[in-house]
This record gives sequence, C-alpha cells and structure tokens, in this order.
Amino acid sequence: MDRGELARTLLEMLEQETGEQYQHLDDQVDLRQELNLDSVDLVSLLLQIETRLNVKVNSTEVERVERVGDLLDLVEAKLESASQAA
Amino acid sequence: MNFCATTTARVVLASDVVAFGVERASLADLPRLRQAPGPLAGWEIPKRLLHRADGQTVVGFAAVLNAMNRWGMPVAHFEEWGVLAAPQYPGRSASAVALRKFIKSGVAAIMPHIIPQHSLHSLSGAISVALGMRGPNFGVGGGRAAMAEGLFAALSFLDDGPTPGLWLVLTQWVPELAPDTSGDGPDESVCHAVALALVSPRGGDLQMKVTVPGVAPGHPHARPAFPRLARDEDSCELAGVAALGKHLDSGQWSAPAARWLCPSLPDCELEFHFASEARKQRAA
Repeated sequence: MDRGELARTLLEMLEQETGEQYQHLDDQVDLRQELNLDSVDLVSLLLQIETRLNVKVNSTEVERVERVGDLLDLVEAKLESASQAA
Repeated sequence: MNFCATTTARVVLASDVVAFGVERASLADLPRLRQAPGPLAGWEIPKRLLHRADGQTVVGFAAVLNAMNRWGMPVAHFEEWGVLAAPQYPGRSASAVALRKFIKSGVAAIMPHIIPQHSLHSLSGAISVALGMRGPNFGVGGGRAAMAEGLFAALSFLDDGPTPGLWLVLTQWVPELAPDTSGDGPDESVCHAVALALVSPRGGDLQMKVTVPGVAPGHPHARPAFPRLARDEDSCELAGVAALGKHLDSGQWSAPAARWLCPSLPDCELEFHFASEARKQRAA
C-alpha cells in the first residue's frame, strides 16, 4: 500500500469515526486542534486502524501523533516492518 | 431539604419549575434529531456532541433545548447550574452490540465510546458539556425506578446543593428498547424525555410538589426519601416519563400528575400547578 492509498484509507476511517466529510486533509492538519479529536476518538481511530490494517500501535507511539502526517508516518512504518517480518 | 410537615403528617418536597420541555422520538426519528436536536440562539452546540451518543442522550438533550426555547431562556442563565439525569436502562443497544463483538473478537473490537457515551452519567455529561455548565452533573437511577429516583434526588439536591438551580432530565423508551444482538429494538419503541429546570421554592409561576405520606417511626416504610417501587410492568408504564410529558404538555394540571410515584406508599403524589391563572396565561 503506497502513501496515497494509505492516506485515502485513513481518510475513510476518519470520516467514519467523526461522521464528517473532509474534502482534503494534508499532512499538516492537527488531529486534536483542527479536527477536534479527543483522546477517546483517537483511541477509537487507532483500534480501527489496527483491526483493518493488521498492525499494532502502542500507547507511547500514539502520544507522539499530533498531525495527519505523523499518523501516516507511523502506520506506514508499521506496515513496512510487518512486510519485512513476513 | 425542602420538607414541610403538614397537618396530615405528610412530607412535601417542593421546587419551582422555571422551564420545562418535552420531546419524543422513534428509532426512525433519531438520526434527524441527532443531526439537529434543536435551535439555540446565540450558542454553538459542539459539532460532534451527539454523533455517538446514546438515543436517550439525544432525546434528553433535545428536551432541554425545547425547554430553553419554549421559555425563552438563554444559555448564560444556566452557567452555574447542575444537571441531574435519570435515564431508564441507558445504553442497552450499544451494550448488546459491544457484547456480541467482545464474544466474537475480544476487547479490541469494542469501541472506546461505550463508557463515555452509553452509561448512566452520559446524558448529564453531554448536556453539561454542550451548554458550558460549571455545576455538578451526574446520573441517578438507570433502572426501572429511574424517574422516581430522579425526582427525589433532584429535590434533595436543590436544598443541599451549591448551585442556584438544577436541570432534571428524565428519559425512557416505551415500550422498553430490549435490543437483539444487532442492537436493534422493537420498531415501535419511542424515546420520551422531559426536562425540568428547577430552583428552590420561591413563589414562582410554576411549582412542582411531591407529597410523601407520613409514616410512624418503626414502620417498615419509615424512610420516606427513597421508598420501594412497584415491580409490575403496568405500574411502570403508567408511572413513566411518557405519562409525565403528556401531562405537562396538556396544561391540565388541576389533578395530580401522578399518584404512582411510590406504589408501596399509595398516597404519594406528584403535582404541578401555576401560582395563579393569570401567571399560567402569561407563561403560555
């Protein structure tokens, strides 16, 4: 899955999580300040990501996620290490 | 507490009602109400407040907005108030879905919103957050006797609590929303909600009174504050939020709203009355 495809998948999950439609989300968008995600929203989103993409994210890694780009970087790295392990 | 012993040895718990609102929604109505629970001039309701909220939270919040609009009261008036909510069996649908997912896929499959959005304190919390209130908020009851427990707790809190007033929000599905494992309940279920804005008795236009019969010391019912309630389904339906909402909407308050609050104390009554006909007309 390339970064563009991953971004579309995350956008879909984000829309499902919030019930809102986003035309475009660039990497700089702040998840908490601009999209108003609270800690429960974020955990819920990460559970969706773990289930759908079959990756594991720990709580320390979640704390470092502030913007859309951070989330994409994290999930991309997880997918890459998973594919290498396979 | 706002007790006063009367000549007939009864106990009266009283408050003024400065606003009330009534709302009803079927399962089919819920998505619309979730998107637009009601207007509130000069105030922005948080965008995703009700996105994952329990059905009773949606209808209960709409009842509060209904009351504020109906009586022309601004949000600022309630800034220091508390909120007490008494939903009956909140979160049943979401819990049914969560349990099914838990059995099938384990704890990771359960959405974390289940606790903050579908438990006893969710309704009061949502209202408090939505209206930027600074007073305490909490849920009481949660079971079959929720309405009576809510009324008794609210009247007790008004006297002892530190806030200038209290929203009491009562909600209930009729018939009870007993969901299947997909979370769906009977199509004909309607969620009823009544929101009452209460202050300590001060001779206002509209008054609410709960009369609890006096009991002799040593009698099994000698603790009048939280008497036992009927267990049969018929009594609960009659004693429910739907009946209270209908009574309030009718404006025909010459008779008590209910004598069924405490079936183990059959003379217990709930009454609403305007201080005078002129005041009633002015409020209408």
